[in-house]
Amino acid sequence: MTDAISILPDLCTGCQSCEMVCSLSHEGVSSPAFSRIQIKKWPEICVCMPIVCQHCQDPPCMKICPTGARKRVAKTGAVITDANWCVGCKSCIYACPYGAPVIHPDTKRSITCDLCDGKPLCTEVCTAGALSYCDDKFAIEKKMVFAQKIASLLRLK
Amino acid sequence: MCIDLSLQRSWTEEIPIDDLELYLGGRGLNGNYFLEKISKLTAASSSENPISLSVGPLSGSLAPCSGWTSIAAFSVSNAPRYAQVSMPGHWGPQLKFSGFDQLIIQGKSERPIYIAIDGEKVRFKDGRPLWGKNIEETLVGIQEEEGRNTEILSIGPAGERLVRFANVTNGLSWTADHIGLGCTFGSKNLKAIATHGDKPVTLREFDRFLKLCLVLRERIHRDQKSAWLEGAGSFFFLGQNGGGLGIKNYTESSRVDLEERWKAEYLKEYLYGCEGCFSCPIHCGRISRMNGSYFGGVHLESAWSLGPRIGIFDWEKTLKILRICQMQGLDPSSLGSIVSWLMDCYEKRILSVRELGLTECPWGNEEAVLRIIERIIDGKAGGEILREGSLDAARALGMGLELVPHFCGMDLPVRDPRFSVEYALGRALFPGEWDYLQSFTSGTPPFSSTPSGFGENKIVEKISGLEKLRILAEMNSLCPLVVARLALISGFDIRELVLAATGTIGDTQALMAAVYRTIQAEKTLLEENQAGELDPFPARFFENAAEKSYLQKRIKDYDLYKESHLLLKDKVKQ
Repeated sequence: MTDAISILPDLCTGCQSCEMVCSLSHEGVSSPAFSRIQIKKWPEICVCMPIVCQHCQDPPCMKICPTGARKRVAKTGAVITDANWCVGCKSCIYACPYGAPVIHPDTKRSITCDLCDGKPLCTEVCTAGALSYCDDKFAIEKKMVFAQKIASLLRLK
Repeated sequence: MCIDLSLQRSWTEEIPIDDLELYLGGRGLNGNYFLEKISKLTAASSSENPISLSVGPLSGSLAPCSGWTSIAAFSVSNAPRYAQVSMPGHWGPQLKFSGFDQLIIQGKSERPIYIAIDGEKVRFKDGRPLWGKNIEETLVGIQEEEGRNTEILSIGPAGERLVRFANVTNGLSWTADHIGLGCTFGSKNLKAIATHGDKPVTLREFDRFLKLCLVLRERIHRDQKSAWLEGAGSFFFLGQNGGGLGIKNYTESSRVDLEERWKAEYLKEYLYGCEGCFSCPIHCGRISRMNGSYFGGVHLESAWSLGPRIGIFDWEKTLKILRICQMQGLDPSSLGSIVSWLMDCYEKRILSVRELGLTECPWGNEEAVLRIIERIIDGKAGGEILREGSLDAARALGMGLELVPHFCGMDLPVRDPRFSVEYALGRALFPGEWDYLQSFTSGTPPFSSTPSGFGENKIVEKISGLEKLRILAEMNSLCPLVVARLALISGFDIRELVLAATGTIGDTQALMAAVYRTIQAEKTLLEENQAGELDPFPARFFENAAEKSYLQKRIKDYDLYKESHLLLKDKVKQ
């Protein structure tokens, strides 16, 4: 298991700083649409949820990608898309248990977190403490617990 | 982007580059638009009066605290005149991501509608299914149709029914209060503006901009004031030296111990988490938990207005009333103002039960508050007078006028002006401003590298400098609290950010000239559209002998305060 971006959704304040720093550092522009991390919000239950690639040990996106565009970078362990091979079929999006990959608005190819070459900027700007860069063994379990919380809160409404 | 509701037509106009250089954006653009295109208001309640919503060059970027939107209109609240307000939240950046710096809304729709802006596409959607719905129902209804990432600016039933102190709300937590904007939306049959955009915001020197932002964000995060604000939100202002907030319609003022107790109870029993405006590293918004439900938008001003100001010291009651107020789209401060005025009149037997149309209205009575809200929304059984706001209600009833806490027609924030010379002078110098934190200043004037002197003869200079800094922040969509009140972002920082973002604007002299142009534009608009006399503080703030003895202990030179305030009032009138 390698380090990944660990998420504590209860601490996310929905400020979108992570989206801004991601799009600015990768694309040179500010826009959530160009970001590799996405914030989903349910304001009526005061919930914000950062969604980003967890670089799974056995990534379903790599298995399903028909062109082999999804690859693991040896240095950081990040699972990334090779834009030269990606055909924009969105298979990785459907296969991902986190819903992490997004389609680049211009190239129409899949993009995901590349861990900023081992120093993820999103974790640096997240002053709320919702994002941190570490070995998170319980990513799936945490996500399931939080999903149950959201479901429970929405049902209460 | 211009939208005509009467014709259901939208079009785009290029903002001249000269205007962007002369006025930067946000508050400056609004002032320039009204001065150049409108100048005179048609009528106080006319639906033809336009609304201008603008953002600045730093909006939609990584620049810290850049989520604010400046909104200007001819206010329908107490004194009809040009009024502007800054709204925190996330709506402004979405306007920027749609590719626009300014949205002008004019005309009136024949039937209730909401506007959906998606990039350059504008749709006029039937608002009738949403008419009558509260803020939360409206938000969920629109987001389910337009997408969860859409930012909503909406009014509640109060705005639809033209309550003069109705507000507009971004999401569920961030409001544009104090100028009766909800009433203006309602008079145009405009239920909401849903905005979403995918356009990237380009920056001239993005590498430099990124570095500047990272350094600045780190500096803000490490600052002790940020830590306080992160910990207790705006409640951190309480208890340090005594906030001096008005209790029971300013018949009393808060003491340190009371403030500490009140704050501690909230933080211990009701605080659940934090919420943040766009790109904010501080997250001063509070999420509260009560009876299994969660809601945001609780801050010092709103909670105190519907708490101690009306004699309620029970947090559960305050939060319940505040929640209703939020859902109905009422300005909590103005609601607190009219309720506290009614309760004061009731206690002093100025108004009888018959005139109030109420059975009882003693201090702190939750049932009475709920009845008042109901009548204000319905506009019946006395509500048709109360919905005009405390000052006009007192004028209409011909009684209790001397008990209305207002300044130049605007409801007074919870801050007691007797507690701070700075605050009182700030009110007098900038009567159109609405900022209850005016006296909690620790900032420096723009582009001053060392803190200015704070001797008595320097107070006016300092206040004036801080207000300029505030205006500079609002022209750039930055948080005025962080810039002007806490000095976490300096004039130099803004200059560097703007220069890296635009590549053209950023010269210190040019920025300050833009601030002066904005002040001048607003001054002209205020002078041309002033409906009545610029009323000073009510006499009670100078005549309360019981308070004076206490205040004399708190304010070193009470006579100087009183004298200088009266002098400045005259100056404002000229």
